[in-house]
Amino acid sequence: MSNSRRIRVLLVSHDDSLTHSLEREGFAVHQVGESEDVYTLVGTLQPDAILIHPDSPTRDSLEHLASQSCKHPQPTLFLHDKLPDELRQQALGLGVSSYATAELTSTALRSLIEISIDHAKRLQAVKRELTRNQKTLAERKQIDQAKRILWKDHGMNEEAAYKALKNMAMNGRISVAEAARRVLESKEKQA
Amino acid sequence: MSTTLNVGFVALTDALTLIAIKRLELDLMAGAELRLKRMGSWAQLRDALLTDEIHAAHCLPGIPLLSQADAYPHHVRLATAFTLNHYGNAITLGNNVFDQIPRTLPLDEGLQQLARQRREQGQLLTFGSVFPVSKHEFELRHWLAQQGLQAGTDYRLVVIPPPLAVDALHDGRVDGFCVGEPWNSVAVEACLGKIVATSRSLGLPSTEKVLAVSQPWLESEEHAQLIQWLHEASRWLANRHNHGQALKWLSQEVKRDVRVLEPGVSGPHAVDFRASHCPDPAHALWQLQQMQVCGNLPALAVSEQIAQQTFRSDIYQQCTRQFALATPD
Repeated sequence: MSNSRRIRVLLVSHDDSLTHSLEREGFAVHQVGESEDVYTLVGTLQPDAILIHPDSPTRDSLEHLASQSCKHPQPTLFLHDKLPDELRQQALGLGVSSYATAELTSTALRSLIEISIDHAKRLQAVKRELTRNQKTLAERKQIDQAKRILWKDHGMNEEAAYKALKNMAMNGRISVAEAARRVLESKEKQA
Repeated sequence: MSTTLNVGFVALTDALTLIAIKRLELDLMAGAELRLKRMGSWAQLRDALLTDEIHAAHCLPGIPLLSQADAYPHHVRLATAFTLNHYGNAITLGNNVFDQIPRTLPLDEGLQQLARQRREQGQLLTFGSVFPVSKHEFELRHWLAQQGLQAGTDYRLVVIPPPLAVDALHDGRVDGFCVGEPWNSVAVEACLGKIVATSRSLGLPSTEKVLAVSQPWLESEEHAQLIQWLHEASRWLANRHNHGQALKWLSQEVKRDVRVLEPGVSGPHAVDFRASHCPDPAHALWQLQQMQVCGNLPALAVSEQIAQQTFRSDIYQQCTRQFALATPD
């Protein structure tokens, strides 16, 4: 950034990786946890912008600071001339909310929001991947259990048990995991 | 009607009416679905209302009032046709305040003396409320003025989110606060302080939370339907025999023990779910005046017209006629 002074960002979050991304882009970041006293922080750091998760309770204290003086960072939802609508909507949807001072240029604000959105998207992808892995793992477990039931109760060997599950799935137009779930359910009902 | 209604709330005792609709399955019985969305802050709830993410919300009256005074972008207007509850707030002072006041002095004189000492030390007495335009702040200022203390010179006001208020009292970051239930009871239960006033004892205009909706949604069928459910749920809540069940549900929503929640439903500083649900523009006007005194609103914005545009008693009456609802006593 060509400015004589780096833009100061107060980041209220436990997640360090966003700090690194912002620092790489030349922002001076001060990262704090949820329970810190934002009154003292905003007073001493005088940040140009504040990034915070939209559902953080601390937002209400920031709203108070914003209402006390226009020099304090204001909620960017209300700085509508500086941020395009779709960017703001995207930010809200992804869990990014920000406060900025009137002095912050619109380019700087935009890049700040874009980096945060990017970061939130990556985080979301990681979470999705994790859920998918957990689901696959759970399904594999169920298939194993169903196979065991089939080979114990119906005297099949492992290969035959798997074949039986696969047939069930094909005939019922369901997934093998779903077929396994049904085997487990009917076993539960018997018990 | 197979509709989905998205309604925001903050996890507080006075959100019970909305929680009860869901738990009593009033929505399902009408072939609709009420989706309750828990919000972490009033700021988040306001943004969700302004951006149409939710249709309606359990809300501080100051938020729709500010919108009608054109304080929000794109001229989005919010209004209310249903008062969710009256009262329920209290002012709690921390133990350290009582420890520093000589026992021989009455509380007001003791507070004045303490305020002077703290000013000389360069550490003003600090009190917390919950949002810049909340009745909590108006009640706090009113009570402190009764004690002979003036904002700015004798004490400093901060906003502390209720879930963090009890910690702030514990750490000495605030000397006292005005919050809604269950947070006063939580502080008392933890032996951190004493309740010195309640919204009932202060006797100010009592409207506490309202159902805020966006202007275009105000006259929709869904809104009328929601008001009908709120009426039924309020009547259910007004019956003492149902409090045990209501407390169990509340306990699951706010993640607190039933024992701590009980005073907020049946105790001396309890939330009142019984009193009139018809929006009272006189209460709205009073809140506008208070907002102006606190510097949140220019004097021009304080008018009966704005009060009436925001507190829509006409829509409430239309709904009660439509459903021939029994008006509560």
